[in-house]
Amino acid sequence: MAVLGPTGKRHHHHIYTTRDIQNLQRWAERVRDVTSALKANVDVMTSLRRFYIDLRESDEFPMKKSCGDDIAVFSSQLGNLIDDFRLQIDRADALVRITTDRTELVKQHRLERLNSNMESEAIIVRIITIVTLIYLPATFVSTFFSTDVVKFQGQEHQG
Amino acid sequence: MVQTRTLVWGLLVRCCWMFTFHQVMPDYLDFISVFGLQSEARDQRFSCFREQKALKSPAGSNNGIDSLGRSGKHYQLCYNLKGVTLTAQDLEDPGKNRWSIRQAAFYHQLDVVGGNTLWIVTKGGLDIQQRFKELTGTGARPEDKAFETLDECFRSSLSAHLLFCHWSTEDWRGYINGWNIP
Repeated sequence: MAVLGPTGKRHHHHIYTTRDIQNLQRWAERVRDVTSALKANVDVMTSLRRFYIDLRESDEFPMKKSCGDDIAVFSSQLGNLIDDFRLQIDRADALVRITTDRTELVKQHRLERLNSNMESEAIIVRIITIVTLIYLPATFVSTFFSTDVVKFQGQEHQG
Repeated sequence: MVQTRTLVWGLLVRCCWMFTFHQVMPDYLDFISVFGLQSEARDQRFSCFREQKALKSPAGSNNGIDSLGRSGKHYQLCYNLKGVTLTAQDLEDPGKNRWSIRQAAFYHQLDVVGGNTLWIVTKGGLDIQQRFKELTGTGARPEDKAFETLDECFRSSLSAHLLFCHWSTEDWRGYINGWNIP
């Protein structure tokens, strides 16, 4: 909706509130939690693989020869799992990026709305100004002639 | 409250006794301390891998206890993994499914002379235990439940590690797929 929805005046469009921004923020946080958990898993699995590979290299390990192949198979399977996790991490990162972009967009929408409101208000204020300016000379003249500075002589003659 | 506290204390004492008996590495206590009743996930970020190798025979003193099948040459490792499980399913709208990130802590010890293995797994819920039973139960592959020779013990310990790692990878895809960003 935020990306494809119409934004024009006569179109039906969604009005974004702070709530939407909060929602998006919550999503981003949740995705970040998941990414950190996945990264932790990858770290642990990498350590596990390194431990067994070290064990295969070490001379004190009595099953070095007989189980070397098993360790190789094990480490390759762990490698697959780690790759799988990496893929998920990439996807989660992409989601985080999308969410941040969306948040920006929603903020833009809100700014736009604020701007258009201010614009219509400015028009009303201008109309008021023009009307006031039209009447201003007349008001001034009538105020000026009602003071004692100007006196009409003719009026006294008649009276 | 008092009862709960006594119960927890009793459990702790029993755990300590068990850990002392099996000579579990002290680092594992860090892993267990993460568990407990939590209103909000605290310490969710804790994640670690610890190892300890004692493959050389110790000079002078003999640490082994033959009657318990311990030669003194062993390695031990502990780590924790995080998996995700579906806690409430909404069939009509998959976007409303509720998921929860769960931790599991694993301890493993293998005696490289006698082939004795020890596993201590801490996890809320019984799903891992169930799977481990399936791995070593009647329908399992013969190489996974063979503990006759040293090599077989070692191989089955590797498949147990793989089982745990598979558990942690499982549901993440569904979890990430279920997200539809508004």
